[in-house]
Amino acid sequence: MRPVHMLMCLLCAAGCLLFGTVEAQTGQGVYQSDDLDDLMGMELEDLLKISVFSAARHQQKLTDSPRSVSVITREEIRRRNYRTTPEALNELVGVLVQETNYGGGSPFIRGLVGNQILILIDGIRLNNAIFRLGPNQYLNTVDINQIERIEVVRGTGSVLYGSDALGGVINIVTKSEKAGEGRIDLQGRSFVRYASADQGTIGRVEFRGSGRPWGLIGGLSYKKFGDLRAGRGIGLQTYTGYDESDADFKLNLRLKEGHQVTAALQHVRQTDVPRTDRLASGVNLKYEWNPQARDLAYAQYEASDLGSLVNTVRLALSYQTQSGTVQTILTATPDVQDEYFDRVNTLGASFQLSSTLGKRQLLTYGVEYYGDRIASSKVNVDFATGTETQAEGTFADGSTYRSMGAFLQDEIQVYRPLSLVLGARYSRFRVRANLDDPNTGSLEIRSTPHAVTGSAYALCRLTDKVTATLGVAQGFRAPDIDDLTILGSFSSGFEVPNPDLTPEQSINYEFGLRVQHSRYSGSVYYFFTDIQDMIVRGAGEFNGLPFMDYNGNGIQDPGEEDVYQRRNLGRARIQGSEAEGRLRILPFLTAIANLAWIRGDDLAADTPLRRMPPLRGKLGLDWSTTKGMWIEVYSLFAAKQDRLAPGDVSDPRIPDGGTPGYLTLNLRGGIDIRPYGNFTLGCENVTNQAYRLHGSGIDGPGINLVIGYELPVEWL
Amino acid sequence: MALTTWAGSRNHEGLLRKMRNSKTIMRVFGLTALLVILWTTALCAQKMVVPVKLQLAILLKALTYDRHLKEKADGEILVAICYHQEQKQSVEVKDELLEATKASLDSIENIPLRFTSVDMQKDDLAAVITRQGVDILYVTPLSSAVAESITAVSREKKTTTVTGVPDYIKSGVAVAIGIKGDKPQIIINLPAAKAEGADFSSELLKLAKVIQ
Repeated sequence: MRPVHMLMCLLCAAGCLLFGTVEAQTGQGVYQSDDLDDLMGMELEDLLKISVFSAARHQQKLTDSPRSVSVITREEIRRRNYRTTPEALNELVGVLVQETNYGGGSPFIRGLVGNQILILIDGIRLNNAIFRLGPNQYLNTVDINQIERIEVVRGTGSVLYGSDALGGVINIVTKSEKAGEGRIDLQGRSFVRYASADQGTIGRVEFRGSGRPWGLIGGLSYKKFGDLRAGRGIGLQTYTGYDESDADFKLNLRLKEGHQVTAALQHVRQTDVPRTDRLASGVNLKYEWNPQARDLAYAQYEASDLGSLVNTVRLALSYQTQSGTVQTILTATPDVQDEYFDRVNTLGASFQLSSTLGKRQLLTYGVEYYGDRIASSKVNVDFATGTETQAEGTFADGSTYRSMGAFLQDEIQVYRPLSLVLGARYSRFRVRANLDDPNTGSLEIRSTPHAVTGSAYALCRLTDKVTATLGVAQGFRAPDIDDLTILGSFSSGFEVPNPDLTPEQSINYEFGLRVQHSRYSGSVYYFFTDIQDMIVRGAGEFNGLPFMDYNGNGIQDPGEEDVYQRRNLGRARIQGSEAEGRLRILPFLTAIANLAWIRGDDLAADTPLRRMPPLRGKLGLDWSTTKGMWIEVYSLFAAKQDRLAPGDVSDPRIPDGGTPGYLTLNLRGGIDIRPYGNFTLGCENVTNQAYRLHGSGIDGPGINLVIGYELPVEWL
Repeated sequence: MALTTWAGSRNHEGLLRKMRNSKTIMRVFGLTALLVILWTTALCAQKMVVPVKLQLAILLKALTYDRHLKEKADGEILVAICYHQEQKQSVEVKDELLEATKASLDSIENIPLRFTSVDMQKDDLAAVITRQGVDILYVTPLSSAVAESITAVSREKKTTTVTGVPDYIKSGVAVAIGIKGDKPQIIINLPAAKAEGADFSSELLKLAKVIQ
């Protein structure tokens, strides 16, 4: 651990102790005023989630967090009729969702993507040991129809959530039905969605019920997407359509007042999901996931109001399986199909508590464990001879990856306008893998990386309406199976594993200003992230030699490749700014806007960092009546991105010279006619603009008519 | 033992000296402090635990779950704030509520909303309800006895009572805002609510702590 990291953790821990002492001495509190209009604009359930720190009129809205947070609510999901979970994030400030294919969708937050972004489902990690560094498709294995809300924290969240939370944390909260108090309630909901650009249909039936003391919700979804028609001049994009089926169920049982058990099941299965960029470029004749699946089961016990020492307790046990079969045929070898099968079984356990210390401190602390077991295989099918050959899979079959962490966060209200959030975490990992290659023989990989991280955020209320935030936080990404078990030839040499890899480390500094008024609100953030020890491929050694000494003569002969290893050699710097605002022009008319700028530099290579999003944003008008009718006109736009890394230049997903800028005009609206249901109608990309989100393998939809209808049913 | 010794002493200075020497003065202070804490704690139980604006927002949202609200409102919801002119906290809460609501809070669920106040010291609550058509009574921090007198009238007039003082649930107020952990909690006295003519949906009851 670097001295600066150690110092920061010690400072955080010392801060917790120091302010604990101060609190015990003064016992004074803080009252933060709030705007009644804002409160009246919230749902009742959300009002009941506002923290009230003490019995002395001290309160803190969750939105008073010093972090830069965006939330997509259930109402927004219902109104906006999103096709997938990744696409729901695309309108948020500072988030770009790259789509290599139509069945994918990988969010960039603060310039980072893939295993440098952490995704949680009901607090359980979706990320596992085989998440790769670049964009991935896994967020799209969460059905948008089962989501209650999505919380996006921009900036590192490693103190609370551990590895991978370098660029940000996406926490998906699924729908839930609270246990009832009296008579039995049974309700249903059916929903259909049709979109013209992909001829896609989505159908869902959902039921929910409650009685004393139980509540349950469940649903089945089916989705069928055809090939996507892009804008003017591009037209139909082949190799984009796919099918998906989903099922979910959640049961809540109230054991007694303040004690609840939740059990949930989720299932997602996608079939015939093509990887568009590989097929459209002609590299492959076939490249598709068939099937790709995810299953999650978890049980959770929550207790609140336990006494003066501990306020809340949360114990969660989870078991998740993520699997996929990829079938590929290279154009160069049309008679040979490679079929890769990978599966990760993850057992998770977490124990979290919170305690209020006096009137001014809220402690959140706990431990968590995740254990991944990987199954990986490959079958080569030769159509010409009809033979099937077993081969090594993408990852080391039977490898295990275990992570353990302990964390502590202290939210302190120092004095009237100032509050602090200090945190620290220790994480330890254990990796076991056995590799076999004819060129190297058997290799046993044993690695136990660990990381200590700390964070400190301050929030200062400058006036009743204006808040300033300042934060510094460490993040890390521990080397995973994808980093530690790569073995074999590639275009420039031979890569062997490096068990001495240490976690990538980052320090994120950010400063923000927020304004909150009944008529207008907004925020501006500037951030600066320094990433060290980035895991990159570099010159390495095998058996003490920098080349593969196949004949054992100690001299590099022709055909004996250079050795490469993953090493902690990279260093990058990312900085950017995010701004968003809302202005109520008239009682029913609100203007909304956001804009994000980012710049990333690879300091080791002295080039731009790969896949940096361009300047992009949203501008719109929202007209909503209290009678359940609403219309939104908005534009999504991006500047040209021609500041490219060498990897971007050779990436077929990025056009020569960079990704052109664009501006789309979009309309959507809806009406709630009780009891006949809720209708939504949208027209995306009205001008049929051809555009591509930077780094994507497909172009965005052309003119796209989206129709949705939701019918609620009350049985009892 | 020390107290017996003081009582037996007729020398005032000697008594004081004995008190100092035997640390009795510390015990007296300790006992006094304990009594003050207990007394203060008892008083606090009568006080509000959730900020006024937050509890008002929660209460108004909660009232929309009353299936009889529209029928009772008859075109306008009139909320009367019951306060006592001689009680400082009661007046402060009343003033804060009126100040918060005068700016823009003029309707809820498309029904016009209006606020008025009733001084429990001089106004006749029953007469005010009848004359002005009050639909909701908001009870500020008062004494339990006054709270009980308000609920007696509210049941007779079928007017729903709400409060930010959780202890008033015991006095028969229908809906109160308390605290659970570090978050606000709706408390519903179901028999009282029914007696006042309210019929809360199960959706609300699920979110609340229900006193049967």
